[in-house]
Amino acid sequence: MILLATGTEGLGRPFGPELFCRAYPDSPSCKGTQLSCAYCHQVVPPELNPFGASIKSEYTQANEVFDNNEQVFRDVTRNLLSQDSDSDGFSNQLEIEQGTLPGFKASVPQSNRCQSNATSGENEYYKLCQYDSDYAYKKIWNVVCGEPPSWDEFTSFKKLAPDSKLVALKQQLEKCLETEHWIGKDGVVWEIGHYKIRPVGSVKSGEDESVIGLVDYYDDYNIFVYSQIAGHDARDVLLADYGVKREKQSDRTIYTRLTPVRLDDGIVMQPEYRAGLLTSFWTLGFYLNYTAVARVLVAQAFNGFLGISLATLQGLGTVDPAESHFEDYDDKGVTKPQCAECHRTIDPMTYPFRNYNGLTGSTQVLAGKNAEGLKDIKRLGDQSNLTPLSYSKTRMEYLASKYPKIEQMPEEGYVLGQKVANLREWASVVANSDQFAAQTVKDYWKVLMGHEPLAYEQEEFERAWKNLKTVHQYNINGMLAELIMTEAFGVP
Amino acid sequence: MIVYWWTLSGCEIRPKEPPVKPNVAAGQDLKASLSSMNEVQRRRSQQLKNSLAKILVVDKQGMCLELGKHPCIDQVHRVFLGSMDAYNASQYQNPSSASIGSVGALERVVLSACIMRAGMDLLNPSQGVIFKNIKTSIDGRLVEDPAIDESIKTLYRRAFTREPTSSEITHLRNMYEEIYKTEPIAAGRNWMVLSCFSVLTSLEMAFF
Repeated sequence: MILLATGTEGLGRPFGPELFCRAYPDSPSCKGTQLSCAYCHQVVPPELNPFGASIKSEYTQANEVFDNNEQVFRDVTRNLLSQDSDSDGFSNQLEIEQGTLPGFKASVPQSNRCQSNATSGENEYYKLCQYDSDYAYKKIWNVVCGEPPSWDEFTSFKKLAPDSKLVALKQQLEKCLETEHWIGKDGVVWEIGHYKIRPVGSVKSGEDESVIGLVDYYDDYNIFVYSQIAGHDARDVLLADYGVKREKQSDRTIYTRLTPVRLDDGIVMQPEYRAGLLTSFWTLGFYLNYTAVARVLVAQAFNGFLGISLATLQGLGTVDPAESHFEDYDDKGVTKPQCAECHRTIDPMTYPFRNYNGLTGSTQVLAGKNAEGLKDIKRLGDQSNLTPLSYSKTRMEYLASKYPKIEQMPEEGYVLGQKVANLREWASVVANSDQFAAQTVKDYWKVLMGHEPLAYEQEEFERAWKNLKTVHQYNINGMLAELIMTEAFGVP
Repeated sequence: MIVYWWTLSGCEIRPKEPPVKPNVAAGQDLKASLSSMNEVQRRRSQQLKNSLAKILVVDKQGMCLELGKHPCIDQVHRVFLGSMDAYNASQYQNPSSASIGSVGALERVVLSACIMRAGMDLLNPSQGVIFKNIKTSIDGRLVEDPAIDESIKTLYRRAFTREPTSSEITHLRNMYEEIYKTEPIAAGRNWMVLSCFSVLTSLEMAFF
């Protein structure tokens, strides 16, 4: 995060976010997410913002070297807490505590306006600054059902006793969660999947086929939506070994989980090696493609499922290269000092994808080479064949002609600081992480509240994603029933 | 409450006395304190489509068609109306703010839906969804009737699940005078369309 120029060589210091969060673990900026580079930098590093510049100045004055020493960092930054680096009228300490950016004037702590403003009470339409069931009822209709209640529906609700209203709110939510607006193709849940899947209309095959029909990414949406509805496990988006069939029955969209049988369920990957959307036709074909090392795929997965941008060095925990076997396996120069600062952490995250094939060798496969198994389409090539979109132990062998060291690349790697033996373990670590739970809740928070969690909503937000992991066991509908009862949702 | 007294003068139907201007600031009789939270959400394309379809009982796909065949909301104005276009424009998040074409797109879609509703209600007044039992003269002018106030009430109930205020009723009634001055022929039909249009393009509809 912090870059201190040393001579003419720029060295990225991606341990900064991790260091900050070890020093200030209670900051909302560190809970369920990774600290943004913008905390200390201008939009794109390395240029420092006023807070980052203050830290650099303090290190210089203390004659300390900016390294990964948490105690030094805490000591050095202690003097900054009472200061207001970005001159926005709020101290750095308050901004750290509130989760806003102490280096950006436009980012300021927000207080709960109902606590800081005298406006309250009730009028003909709303109960201001208190949970208003009537308001929440209409909001459930508008957001989840996608339309307002009818006059009769609303007047019937208004006549209920307060306790009955709370029950009716949850009942109405359950009804709305079954609507096409919520679960249908291009519905709310489907659209949440857009940034996780990132479709490209020009290559769409199958349903809604484009001129150049290559890949059907609707299979990914089917798995995603299935994992988010009807009490299913939201983690299956990364863990599923099954495909999902979508069909319309009487104007209602039905998602059915399929028995994992290679090809019969529409998925090329061997079932025992599947990891939800990570190993789908679309992900392997588009994000891994012909590349040897799955850096793009991992970056997209981090962005889509954890809300972490690897491209801006966000959230990189360092791993000892001796333990991770970090090397320049594909001759991309990643072990150069200025590259290794990031890649010694990024690359070990990609190693578990070692034997997962994208499109590498597909030309040869189609020509009948390296793919004896293809003679019987039911076998589609076993692990010893270089089959596209499959787990293939000969993939490295094939790539070795281009990258001599690549066969030495291990399958075990590291993700979120944990050692993993293979991709399924990788997916399990990610799916069970706080970041995954927080990002999942944030997706729905934005839909229900219309904005990301504000500083004074952090308590309810944190409780929601922690409960998603425990109380709700990754059941999205259960989490939503909790969200509609929050102040963030129901206080006008 | 302004009471119209319509009389036949030659071939024209016109108000015998000019209506009293309401001189009431919008919202004056709302008796509503202002919210400190200021948290409203934009009604994005799909919500707008579903809402108009429910409020006006018009076909979701047919309520507005570009060149008679391309759905205005789902395709043509999707992004202007606050939704993302993931497949064709690689937009994977809804736009965070309205763009320069948003107002025009909203007005176009609502106007199209209102024209459809007004046309259907005129064809079969007794089964009217909004403008039920509205009476018009042979050349299309509005005939004073309690059904006018009832229509306004129905419009507000269906759109906002609340009763219209007295000033809101007055505003819509007075709007007929302006429409009549501009073009007397078919003023009744135009009033129906524009009443619907003015209510359903208000901030209360654009946001919730």
